[in-house]
Amino acid sequence: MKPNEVSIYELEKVEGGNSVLLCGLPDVGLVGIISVSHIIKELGMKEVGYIDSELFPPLVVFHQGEPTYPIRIFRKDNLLAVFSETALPPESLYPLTRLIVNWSKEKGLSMVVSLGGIGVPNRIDIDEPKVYGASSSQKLRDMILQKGVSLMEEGFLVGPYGLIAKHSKSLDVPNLILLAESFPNYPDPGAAASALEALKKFVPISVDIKSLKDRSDEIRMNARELMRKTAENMQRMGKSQEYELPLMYV
Amino acid sequence: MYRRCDKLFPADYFDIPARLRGYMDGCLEPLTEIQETDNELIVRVDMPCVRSKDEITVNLTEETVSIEAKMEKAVQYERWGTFQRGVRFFKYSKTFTLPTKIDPERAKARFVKNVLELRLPKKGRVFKIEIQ
Repeated sequence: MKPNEVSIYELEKVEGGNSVLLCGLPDVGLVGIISVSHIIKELGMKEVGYIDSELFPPLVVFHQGEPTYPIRIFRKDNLLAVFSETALPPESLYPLTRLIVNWSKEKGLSMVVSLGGIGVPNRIDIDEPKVYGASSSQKLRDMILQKGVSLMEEGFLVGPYGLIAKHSKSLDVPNLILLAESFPNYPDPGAAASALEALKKFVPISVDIKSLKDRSDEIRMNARELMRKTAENMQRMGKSQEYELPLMYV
Repeated sequence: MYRRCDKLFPADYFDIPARLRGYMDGCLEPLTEIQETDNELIVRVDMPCVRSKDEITVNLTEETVSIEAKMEKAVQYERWGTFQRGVRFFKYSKTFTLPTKIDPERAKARFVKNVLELRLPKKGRVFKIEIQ
């Protein structure tokens, strides 16, 4: 592995076909991490690869005594998922997201779905977080509206999902972004549940969302340290720019 | 000898991060954020496993906030790292200094969705002036 390079290692040959890739990367409220980890667990998805780089924190994650890579790829039938168990330094995001989109293009995947959160200061008063959709393709933007999801029309998206959208546009890879209203700096299983409800409108998956809500306290306790580190990284990458208004067309 | 060691290793080289020190007393430091508006500071504290507002104590001065909250039941991370394994957590505790002085007598608090929200009016009178 060369310095500053990010690589995907397939433990078994991953056939792309018509598969959809779900991305669960650390971001606002850890919405992507919580929802994708829930899907992996519920569907019993199998680990088929991992992503590694010297740009990532120098660590390994132990599961049942076995060291594993913190960013792994899972598969079940036509569903693929990439999931990170560690906070990602901002300098690793460009090469990582470029690699994910390049790989998706190479495999001929039908869609890359970014599941995430959008920080709202009044989250404490929201019982059912609203989900906003965005996409690099007109076809998917039309579908977002048809499915009754609000389209994110204006605004900045900073972080891994913003970069995936950018690379997807360049490479003409269909990218769907689903962002649920979320606590900005606390793990938010409620927002993850809303993101999953929205995902079900686009991808036929059979996942029980009630169990996610029931485990809310446990998830919030377990995700504390990852959230703390992710919040530090979000500050470094200028995440607060999402609260600003783009100046074009003023 | 100690001086040589101090030179070789920065002060926090082997140190346990400050937020983890309370582990030994069964205390967890809650995730906290502060939002500042023209008139007030809004502090939000994430406290899963705390059942009701009756389990929370908040002490304010003009410059500091101290929060303690009892968890519904002790939490133990069975599958966590070597450091945390076996430690039972039964409360949250956090004291911090505010970025500006507040008026504790006009402060308000609520506990919703296991998040404690404090609204702390800034100290000092606001004068409205006439524009000539």
